[in-house]
Amino acid sequence: MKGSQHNPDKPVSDELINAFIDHQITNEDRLELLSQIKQDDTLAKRICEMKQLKELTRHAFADIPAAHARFEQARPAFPRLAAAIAIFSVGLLLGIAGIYSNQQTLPTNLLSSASAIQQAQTRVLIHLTSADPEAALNTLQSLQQLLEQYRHNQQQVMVEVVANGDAVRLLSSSSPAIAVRIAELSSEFDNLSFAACKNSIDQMKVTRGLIIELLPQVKLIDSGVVQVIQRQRDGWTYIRG
Amino acid sequence: MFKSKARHKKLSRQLCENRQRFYKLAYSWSGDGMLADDLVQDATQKALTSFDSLKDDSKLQAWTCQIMLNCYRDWLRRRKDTLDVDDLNLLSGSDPLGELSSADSTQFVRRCIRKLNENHRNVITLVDLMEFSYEEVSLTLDIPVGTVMSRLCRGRAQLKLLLADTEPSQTSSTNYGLRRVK
Repeated sequence: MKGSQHNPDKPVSDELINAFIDHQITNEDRLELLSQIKQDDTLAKRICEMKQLKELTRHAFADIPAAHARFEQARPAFPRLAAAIAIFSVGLLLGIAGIYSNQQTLPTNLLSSASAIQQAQTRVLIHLTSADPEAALNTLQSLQQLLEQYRHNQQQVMVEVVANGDAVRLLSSSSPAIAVRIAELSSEFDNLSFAACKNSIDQMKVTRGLIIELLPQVKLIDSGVVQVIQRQRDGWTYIRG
Repeated sequence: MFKSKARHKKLSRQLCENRQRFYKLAYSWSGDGMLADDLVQDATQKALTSFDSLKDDSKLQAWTCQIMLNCYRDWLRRRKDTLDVDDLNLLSGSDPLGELSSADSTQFVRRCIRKLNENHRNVITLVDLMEFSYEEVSLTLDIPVGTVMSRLCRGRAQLKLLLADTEPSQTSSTNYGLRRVK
């Protein structure tokens, strides 16, 4: 529509009115139409009605439920991470509230220690057991959002992704899309690490003849299950990816 | 290599920043928050893994909307076999009391928009909610700008009629629901 010439002698079409209210006509046509509106009440009414329709549409979707509020039921990978974010947020708030409530009695150095401990306690273990690449990409996407949120809030978090069973294949060079994402995330976040279970890799080699070549960002651990148990004992929050 | 990485990072950030807008668009199509989440998630995921096929970075939003629309069409195709009576009632908005009591509410406008022909609805939502230019809509839907304009014109005319008609029995809503069962 931009660049077209409107003939003032012809009746104004609905297409032109739409283009006018959508700002899709040239300034020249716009000025021409505006001068016509002054002399033509019917045209002014048509434009007003169309404008009103546009505003009604925009208004109808101006206030819809936030996307993140729905994550809890949307996908298997997201709810756990969303829940984790919520738990950590509440935990941090409670911790901070507790610290402030005791501010009168605790010495300053203890307060800062308490705060440091509180922040250091945010440790997350994401456990991958399935070799579904789509689910893994979703998990990585959620993971990125979690890390970005903590960075944005200037809060500390440590995340470890542990893969065992079929999921070790996801951390190998056989999954290019995931490899790219892992490389990106690893270079962007120092507080993120990946680990793969040696038992599972050995088992795949023996039972299926599969040779798993881990990505350079992935460290090899003896047992994924033992790692998961140990981390949980150490107070890490467990999330199934 | 570094350029590609920087580009990927920049595009990823733009996708994240516009997530709420994509969600709003998906919500306007589906009327379902969870489905809208899924659509945005699927589209974002597909976009993230196929930036190489995006030739012009300035068209990122239109390109992502195109992916999301394909996701929605796929969902509709899969859904056809399992559409049940409850969903038909929901889609047609055939609850007379509910319809009449919320005739001037945003819910009513949303229902009217969802009752529109899909082609019309897509154009209206892209122009009004995403604030796309006609050219961007043309790119997203892969149709000429002239078709965008005619669909927008007919769509708004249809929407105007639907909004003016607060009697649910007089709308074509039932036909809309049945058309999707084919």
